[in-house]
Amino acid sequence: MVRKNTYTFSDIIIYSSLFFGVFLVIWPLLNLLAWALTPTNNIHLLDGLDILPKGFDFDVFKLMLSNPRVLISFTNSIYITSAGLCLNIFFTSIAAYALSKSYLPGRNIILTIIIFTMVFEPSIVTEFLVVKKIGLFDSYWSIILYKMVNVYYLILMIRFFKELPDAYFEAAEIDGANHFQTFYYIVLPLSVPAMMVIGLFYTVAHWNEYFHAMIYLNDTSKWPLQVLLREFAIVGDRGSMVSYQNILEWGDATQIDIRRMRATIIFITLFPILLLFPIILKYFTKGINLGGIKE
Amino acid sequence: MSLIKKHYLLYFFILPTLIFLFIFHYLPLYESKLAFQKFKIIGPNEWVGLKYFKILFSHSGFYNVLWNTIIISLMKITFTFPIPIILALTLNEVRRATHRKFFQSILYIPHFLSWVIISGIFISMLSINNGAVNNVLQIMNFEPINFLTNSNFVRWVLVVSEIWRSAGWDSVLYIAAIFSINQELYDSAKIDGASRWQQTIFITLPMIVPMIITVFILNLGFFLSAGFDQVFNLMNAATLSKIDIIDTYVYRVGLLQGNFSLSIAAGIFKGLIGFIMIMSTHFIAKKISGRGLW
Repeated sequence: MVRKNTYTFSDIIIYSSLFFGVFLVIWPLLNLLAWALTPTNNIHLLDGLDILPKGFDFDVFKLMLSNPRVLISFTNSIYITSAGLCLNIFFTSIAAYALSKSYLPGRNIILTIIIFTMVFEPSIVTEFLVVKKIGLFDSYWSIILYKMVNVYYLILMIRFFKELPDAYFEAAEIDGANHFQTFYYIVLPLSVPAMMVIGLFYTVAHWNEYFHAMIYLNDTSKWPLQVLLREFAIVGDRGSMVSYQNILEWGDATQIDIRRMRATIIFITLFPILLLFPIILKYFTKGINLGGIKE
Repeated sequence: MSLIKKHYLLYFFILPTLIFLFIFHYLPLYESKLAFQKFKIIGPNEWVGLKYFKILFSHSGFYNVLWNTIIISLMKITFTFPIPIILALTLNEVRRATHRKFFQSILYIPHFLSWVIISGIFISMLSINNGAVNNVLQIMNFEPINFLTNSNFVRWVLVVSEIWRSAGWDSVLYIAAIFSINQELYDSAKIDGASRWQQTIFITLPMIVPMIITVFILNLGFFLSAGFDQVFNLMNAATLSKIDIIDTYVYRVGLLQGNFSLSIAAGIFKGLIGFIMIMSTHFIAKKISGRGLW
């Protein structure tokens, strides 16, 4: 570029419209944080447009994080996400490795069986009936296993493995390595970035799970955080968090503005995603290269 | 045969995935036969043919649901579909890569939040009592509006929240398409004296048309989906009749009221229409522009 540091009129338009977009994304989040942090005494000073809290008070955060229901749900979410993630990565990548071998007899038939499921998705009702029949109802495994392998990510990984240089595999074959050894010693170290990408997407999917958890988990002590959040902040069932005995136990809860509590639990739920976000961005550029452009 | 023997380990690698697909995709698809049966708790189900489809289509409530789905989908396609394209073109004009990355990173955030969280955020923002939007209306001397219970506005809430969540992320595909455009096209355009604006309209935009068509066809495949998670979390008793869509109907009739057969019939109808839509747009697009999905 010749005019490196001069900004023209169109640059100003472009930058200001993008800043407006950024503002629209950030502002609701900051407003929510302001509600969570403003002390109850100052809450009347706060309105929907403020992005800074009027004073700091972590009382609601403390209250929420010491609430047994929140803690149990938080643990459940972590458990479901990590167990699910391990299965996801392991089964997706070994299947993708096998399917990336175009010499494998029957490969096209298997691929057709897999791709067919992308076109015809079963309805939630029939899935529910199957989950009940095989005895996974009210078990964590129902919501972990129903998305064990995502077909889109499987295809992404197949494409990635196909691009690995053949020389590696020929060398391994000459050395007499079987497929398991080739996978473990050669493919695995080479595909860390690709696995990070699908792993992050799987993580987000598990963390954000609420609907299947709502349907398959009858026992409220097995609920992940998202379901608790939904009951409390969206359906507005205050009893689900502050059950009636608890209201009597900490009388404080009734004094605290309900909106502060809602804002706080929303923030507790989205915080892990915000923590992951920089890592997502870091691996993301690699993700595009691995996914789309090359035909 | 010797190939199979030599690579038998590879079949074991695929086996878990196939078992998974069998249990969680093919078995439920097989269970869809319930749409043609009367469900009995004891004893075998009784075949009733198209009875539940007839019930579905003679039920005026279903037409309301179908109408809502179509309207909401049309509104979403009209208003949300162009925004990622415009955004990608705008981002492409940011000349400093670091600045562009900054904008992109922030705009991607909402995509990673669940609809439960986004609904929580919108409920707070649209609140009649000190919600951001009503605060702005107040400053402009308008009456406050309770958007989430007002049946005139609630569909627009769906459109706006959809834009908020997906505009940034959906631009990714277009940005990738823009990056793969041959740089020489721009160089020769510059020699011909084309302005930045002209380059965008006459080079970038036409070059990403194939991507636009692909995304459009895929969107039409989801036409009757209209966003279950979003509607499910933003719906309330006051707006049920305005934003109840096929998927929420399937959930309510099937899982809450226990009428499995009717609910599965509605699901099959939806899947069939989606398939027809995607195939017909594919062939129309192929006829007109020579480019379809494949």
